[in-house]
Parts: sequence; C-alpha cells; structure tokens
Amino acid sequence: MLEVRSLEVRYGDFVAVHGISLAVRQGEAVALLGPNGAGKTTVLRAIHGLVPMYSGTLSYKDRSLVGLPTWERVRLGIALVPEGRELFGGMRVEEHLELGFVPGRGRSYDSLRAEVYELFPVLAERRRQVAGTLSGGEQQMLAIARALMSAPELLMLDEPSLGLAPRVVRALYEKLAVLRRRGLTLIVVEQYVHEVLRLADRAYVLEGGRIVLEGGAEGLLRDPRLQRTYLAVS
Amino acid sequence: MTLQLMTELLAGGAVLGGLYALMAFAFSLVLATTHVLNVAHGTFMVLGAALSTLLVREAHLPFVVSVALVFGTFLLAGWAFEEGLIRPLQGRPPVQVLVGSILVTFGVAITAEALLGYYWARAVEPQPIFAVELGLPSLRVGGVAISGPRALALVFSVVAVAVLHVLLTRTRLGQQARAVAQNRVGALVIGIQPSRVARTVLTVSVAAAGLAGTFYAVAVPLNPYEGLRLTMVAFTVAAAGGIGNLPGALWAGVGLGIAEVLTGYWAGAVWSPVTYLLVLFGALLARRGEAVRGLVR
Repeated sequence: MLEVRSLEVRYGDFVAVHGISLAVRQGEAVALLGPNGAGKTTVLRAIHGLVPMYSGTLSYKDRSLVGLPTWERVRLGIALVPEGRELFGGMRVEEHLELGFVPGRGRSYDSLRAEVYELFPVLAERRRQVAGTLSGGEQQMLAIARALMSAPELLMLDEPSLGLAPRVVRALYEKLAVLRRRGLTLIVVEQYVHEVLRLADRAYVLEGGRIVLEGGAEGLLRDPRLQRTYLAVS
Repeated sequence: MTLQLMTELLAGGAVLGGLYALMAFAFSLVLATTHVLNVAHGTFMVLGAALSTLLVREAHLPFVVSVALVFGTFLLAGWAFEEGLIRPLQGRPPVQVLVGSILVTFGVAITAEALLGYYWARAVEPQPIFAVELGLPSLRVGGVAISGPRALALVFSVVAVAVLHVLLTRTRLGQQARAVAQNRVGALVIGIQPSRVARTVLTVSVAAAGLAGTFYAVAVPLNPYEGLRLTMVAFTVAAAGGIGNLPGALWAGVGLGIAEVLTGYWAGAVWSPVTYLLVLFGALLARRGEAVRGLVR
C-alpha cells in the first residue's frame, strides 16, 4: 500500500534521514521505533508532505506522492496524528470533527461522526467542550478522532503515548487495536516499545536516520539488539 | 461639561470605535491566518472613501448602488492584491512573510496615496476631501442629538461585524480560517489548504476595508493621506484586543474611539494620535508574551 525507497530528508545541511526504505501492506500495523532524533518523526512528515524529500521515491497505492501537497494526500486517504496533537485549543470538540471531515471520501459526515463517538464515547460527552480544557488522554483521542474524520485508509500516529499515564496508554492502544481489526492500515512511531509491539505486526528500528533493525514484532520483543538500541541512549 | 455634551461625545466615539473595530478585526484576522501585516489596510479604506465620493458626489449614483459597486470593486482588488503581491511570499517561514509583507504593502500604501492625491487634485478638486453627503436628518434620542450619517455608520459597523462573525463561525472556510489562526500546523496536517484560506481572508478583508472607508466618509471626511494613520489605528486596536479576536477588537475599537474623541475635546484634535500610541504602548506592555507568540508562531 505504501512504499518508501531510499528516502533522504535534509534540514538545511543536516541530513535527518539517510536513504530509508520501507513498505507497508494493506491492513498491516507497522511500528517505527528508535531513540530521540532517530528520524522517526521526519519519516512520517515526509510521507505526509510536511517536509520536502531530498531524494528517493514515495508511492501510495501504486501512485507516486512526490510533489503532492499535504491536502491532496489527505484526500487520497492518508492521515497523520501529529506529535504533540496540534489541536485547536480554543475550539470545541465537535468543531474539530467538522474540520477533520473531508468531503468526497465516500463517507458522510454523520456516519463518520457516529463511528468516532462510538469508538470514543468520552468525546461525545464532551462535544461542546473546548479542546484546551480536555485531559491529556482525551486530547490524544480527539487528535485521533479528528484524523479519522477524513475516512483514512492509512493512519499514521506520532508518539500517541507521549505524556500519558500508563493506564491511559493502555486504554488508547485498545482503541488502536479496534481500528486495526476494522482493517485500517497503521504506522505508529513510539518510544513506548512494549505496547506498540503488541499491536504491530512488524517493526523498523531507526537510529541516526538509518534503519538498524527490522522484523516481526514478536521476534523483536525478545531481540537483545533492540534492548541495546534503547539502553545506548538511556 | 453637561451630560448632553458628554453623551454626544460618547456617541461620536462609539461611531468611530465601531468602524475601528471592523477594520482592526479584518486587519488582525489577516495577520493571524497568513502572517501578512497589511500596512495598506488603511489605504484601502481611503480608496473606498474616494471611490464612493466619486460615485455619489461626482456621478450622482444612489448610495446603495455605490455601496454595491465599491464592494464588488474591492473584492476584485483584494483578489488581485493577494494574487499579485502576497502569493509570492507564500510558503516562506512566518518571519519572512511578516517582514516581506510589511515592505510590499508599505510600498502599495505610499504609492496608492501619492497617485490618488495627485490625480484627484488635478482632475476633481485642488484640495481632495472624501466625503459622502447623504443629507440624512439628525436623530433625537432622549434630548440628545445624533447626526443621521453617524448613526448610519454605526449601524453599518454593527451589521458588518455581525456578518463577519457569521462567516467565521457558520461557514466551512470561516471555520478553517479560525483553525489556521489557532494552529497552522494542526490545520495543515488535516488537509486544510492555507493558501486557499489566505486568499479568501485577504479578499474579504480588502472588501471590508473598502466598505469601512465608504461609511467612514459618510460620518467623517477623509483626505488621501490618512491611510497610514488608519492602519496605525487598526494595529493599535488589534494589539489591544488580541490578534484575531473579534470581541476583543470590539471593546478595544470602541474604547479607542471614545478615548480619541475625549482627547480631541479636552486637548485638541492634534493630540489624537498620541492616544493611539499610549493605548498601543499599554497593550504591548500588558500582552508582551502573547503579542510575540501571535505574530511569530
């Protein structure tokens, strides 16, 4: 479904991603792991068209995404839940859903909203509340709900567990598991290795802008090299 | 000072303040959504006043027709302004857009004022004054006289602010504009096109400036060189009320209008600009952090 080949991204002279290749099949859940500064966020931003690619190819459903602006990628069914959520602090929950809705994706606003509220009942309770007054976990759910309103086929999440209590993280990952069972393709960037490896089929481990390890999620959980990558930074 | 005089001064301040709130809100919405600081905003008001004067006083068109013509003309002008001068700045970092837009629109402002003053003096009258005289009678409300034109200007400001409010809260593009103003990255990520929002907001703001200038000239005469003063007012009100904040712009606009009228009464009209500076200075002090965050995000 998504194929990234020899992706290189630079910020000025700094090379953030050195020729990464990865592939994601339809319906798969893939984790991108690695320490801070490994280039995980940059890979997602490049897939979403938020940073320009320096070189490499990027295709989605056999169609090149190179040069397409972000809004066109959203219309093709790619959604990103960005790091730090990037909500509209002064706007109500329901307004986020209205803004996230993208006409022409084959789903009506009402049916998507009903689905999102069914998945996150707490958002239905708080639909008149301003986003800035929600708890951290609720804000993360809202960020996911807003992304789901574009009826995506590929959902990318950038550190959804950031700043949340372990209990909230577990609840969040249960929701992601539901989405996965419904057939949504997922790419999840995380430092919280255990939760995400229970969800994912496969994982790539990044370090210094390169893929240093890849494989099935279960194998990686027991792989001593994964431990080393993390121990090296902590 | 009698109560009656005080009431009349307050009413005069409210009329000015309503127009100030309208122009400041359009100005600050542009700043918040696009990082464009439109120095020519006041100049567009002066151009609106000039065009209405031409249509009503020289061409003897009915006022309603001239308002419609000004609106249409300024929608087109706003679109061309965005397309030709602002669009090339798109996609650059916010600080570059801010600084670049100040330079470009300052150029627009001084060029347009110089051309307008020169050609108006040659072709229409040697001492250009833009005033739309409608011959409206004064209203008497509880023993206080309110001039008809000023009442009309106040009604216009209230209606225009209400229309802007509805556009921002009830239309999809308005909602997207608010989203871009609040969080540009968040808006981009979910597929909002900032360039489309920028074009709409700029076009509407220029049209609003043209109409505000028309009704300003109904209430108070303008000359060709007042554009930068009006931009200064817009900037002051926006800074005091909060960038992109409609209720804030209303309070700050009316407050500044009343302060200006009272200063003019007690100290003389030449001191009015000092009022702007004091209010701006106070607002910047009170909102130090916020002003900086609002401008450069």
